[in-house]
Amino acid sequence: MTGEPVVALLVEDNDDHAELVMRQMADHRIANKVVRLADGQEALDYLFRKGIFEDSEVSPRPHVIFLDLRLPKVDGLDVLKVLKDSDEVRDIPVVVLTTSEGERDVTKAYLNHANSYVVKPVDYHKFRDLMDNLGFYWMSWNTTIKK
Amino acid sequence: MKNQNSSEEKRPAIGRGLSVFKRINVWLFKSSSRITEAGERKHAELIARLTLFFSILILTGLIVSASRSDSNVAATLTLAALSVASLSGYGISRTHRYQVSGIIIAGIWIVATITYAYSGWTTNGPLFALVLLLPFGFILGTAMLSTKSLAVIVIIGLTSVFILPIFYPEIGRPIFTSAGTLSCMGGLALIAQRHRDVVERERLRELTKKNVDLQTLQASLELANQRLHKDETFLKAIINNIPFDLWVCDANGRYFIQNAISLNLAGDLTGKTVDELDFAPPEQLLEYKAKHQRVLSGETIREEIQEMLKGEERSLLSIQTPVRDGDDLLGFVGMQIDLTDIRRAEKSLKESEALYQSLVEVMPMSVCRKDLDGRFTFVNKRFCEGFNLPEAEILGKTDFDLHPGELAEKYQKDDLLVITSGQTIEIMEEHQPIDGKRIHVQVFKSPIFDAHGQVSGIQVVFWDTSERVLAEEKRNKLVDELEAKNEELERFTYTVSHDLKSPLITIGGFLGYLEENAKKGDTEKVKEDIQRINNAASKMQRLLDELLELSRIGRLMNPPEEVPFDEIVREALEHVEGQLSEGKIEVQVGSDLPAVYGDHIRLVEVVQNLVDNSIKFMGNQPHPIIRIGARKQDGKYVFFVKDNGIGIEPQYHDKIFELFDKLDPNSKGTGIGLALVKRIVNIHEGEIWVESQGIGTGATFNFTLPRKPNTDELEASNDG
Repeated sequence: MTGEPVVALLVEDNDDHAELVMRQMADHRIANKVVRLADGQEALDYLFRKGIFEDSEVSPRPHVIFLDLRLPKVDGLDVLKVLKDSDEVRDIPVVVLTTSEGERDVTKAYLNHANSYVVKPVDYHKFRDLMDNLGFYWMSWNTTIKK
Repeated sequence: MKNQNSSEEKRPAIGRGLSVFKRINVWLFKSSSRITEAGERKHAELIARLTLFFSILILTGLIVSASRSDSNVAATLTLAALSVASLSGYGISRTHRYQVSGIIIAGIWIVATITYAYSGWTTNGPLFALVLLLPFGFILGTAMLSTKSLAVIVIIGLTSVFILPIFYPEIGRPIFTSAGTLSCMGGLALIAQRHRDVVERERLRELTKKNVDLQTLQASLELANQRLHKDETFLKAIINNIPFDLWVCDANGRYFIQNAISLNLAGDLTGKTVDELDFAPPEQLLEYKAKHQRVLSGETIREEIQEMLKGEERSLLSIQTPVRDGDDLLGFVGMQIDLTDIRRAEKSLKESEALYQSLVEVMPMSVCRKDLDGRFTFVNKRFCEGFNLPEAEILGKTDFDLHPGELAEKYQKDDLLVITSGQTIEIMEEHQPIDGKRIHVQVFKSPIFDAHGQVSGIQVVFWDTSERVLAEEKRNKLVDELEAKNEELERFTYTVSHDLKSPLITIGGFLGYLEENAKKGDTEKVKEDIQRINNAASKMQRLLDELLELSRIGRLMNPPEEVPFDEIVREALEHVEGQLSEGKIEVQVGSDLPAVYGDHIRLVEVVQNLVDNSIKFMGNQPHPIIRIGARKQDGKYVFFVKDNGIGIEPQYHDKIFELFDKLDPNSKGTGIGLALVKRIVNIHEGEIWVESQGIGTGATFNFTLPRKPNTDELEASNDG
């Protein structure tokens, strides 16, 4: 809100789901910029600025991370664990956004310090409302550490 | 005199009529005390009567002579009396010497009497004979008579010869003659008496000797008696102290000896027969009676009986045996020896033997004992059966004789531990007789202590736990399998819920957009939305099909068969021929491939999927090659499918086998292929793993498959 672009990071391997989320975000003008990454390894590279994401211009710090759990290469829960173990990025809120309602996943996510756990609804209207509320809450209402 | 008096008192049996003469005798000869026997008494009476008779005869002669002044009659009578007295002196003499002298004297008197009578009673012939004989009588008297007797004779003789003729001169000659005669007669009587004394003295000597003998005999009898008494006391004590019931009956079956125990048990039975007893029930007494009769007929009964004694049943050894003296049956002796304690001890021994039998021989365990040198000192039946050897061939041997060396060494080490520590140990170990089957056993080894508390050996109890161990292994395997399955199922459920839901969300979401875009009339977007929905639907279809396929594996398996691996490879390659030629991929198949044992169709799927996977991730390799073969590793065949494609980074080596996991989201397929392969291999109890150094190094998928059970074992043992 200070002119700095509000970046949301979306880690999602399913292109269709990524498309759905990003369209909603665009519709609700939630973020200035949504960065979508397709697997866990990419997400870690981005956040720790490795490989192609070395330049901080390319990889600005996200305001919030929307993280799917089932990801190729590095699983979402493993990504979460690494993030929350790191002094560098631990402060960034992580919202687990997944299809899984499995109790084990919920537990593991929270035990790994996920900030929120949200299950993707099948119903389009619910999905739209969810993304609206989610975006508004995490992007507008929620205050994060200023850097 | 005193002695004589006392002797007299002791013998009042001598007749009163004799007392006067006896006293004369006593006074004259001091010999009455020796008149002891009846014969002697008669003798003495005879002498006394003869003396009286002659005294009367002589006195009568004297009186007749005095009254008629005819000395001739008196002299004749005196001479006749003297003859008879001499003869009777002969008669009563026992000794030859006195008999002879008696006959001579009698002969002289007879000659003198005849001579005197022939001369008409006038000559002095008899006087002459008397004068001649008087000294002879004196000599005899001096030699054999007591001084007192002699004095009387002398006084009578002197008086009649010298004093009487002074007063009566007219009858001087016959009186003189008679008195001298009387003196001689007294001498003769004394001779007889003297002779009798000698006889008596001899008899006395004999008697004294006999008396001494008798005393000796009496002393020895007394001694014998004492000894007998002592023996009897001793015998009585022995009988009394015999520590079991003992009694003796006489030939009539009458009790006459009982020892203390018998008295205590049955009371005093002395003098009774079995018919008079009442200390036992009637039927028992009848039995006693029957036995008594048998014994009295000469039989020895020896038997063990049960009898109630003082309210307690006792086992008794009952012996009854006749007592004989030569052929005479004196009675019988009976005894009952209480064997109850022995029988009880035997019984408890039997019981403890039975206990031992049931413990050591019946229990399904092998038991042995060894000494400190490890030699077997005891083995039970089961132990012997385990080695198929008789007990005798095991005792004295050591573990080294019965087991393979390495096991025997181990046992020895454990034994030593028990011996040094004195503690019981429990071990699970292997057991194998030489040339026998190896089994698992549970073992208890305990020290054996001697009376001093020192370890003297070791006792080993063990039993076969092979079945249990196998069952445990099987169970553990099942538990592991189940856990793996559970985990797999959980992962499966998770995966399914996630992956099947994904297309639904896509469909749901884009249906919403479709609706909006349709309203807006944005046909381009509508087309795109429909496309996405279509894609999602077909993906879902594919996922469901593959899931179904996956779930069939394990449930729908074909029966296992032995298939040569190269045949499997050939069939698999046929299925992917198109893709191979399209990618210009060279396939090299190894030679000498073994046969495998399993589901033919599924095994083809394994190879096919692996080749398919290699083709997919060949990357832009200019000379793509896939090698298929087998190598021997640890006695087992390891099959492999090796490519020179993009390779897989080590951190993903496990992840690639998970359901719907794809390293490359853009790669073709649903990510079920490797999961399927792993599942088939696992069902065949094989393993699968991937080797790859990372990107650009290619990948090798290794897996193991079973061989036909029997050949497998043979092969393994040959290799081993």
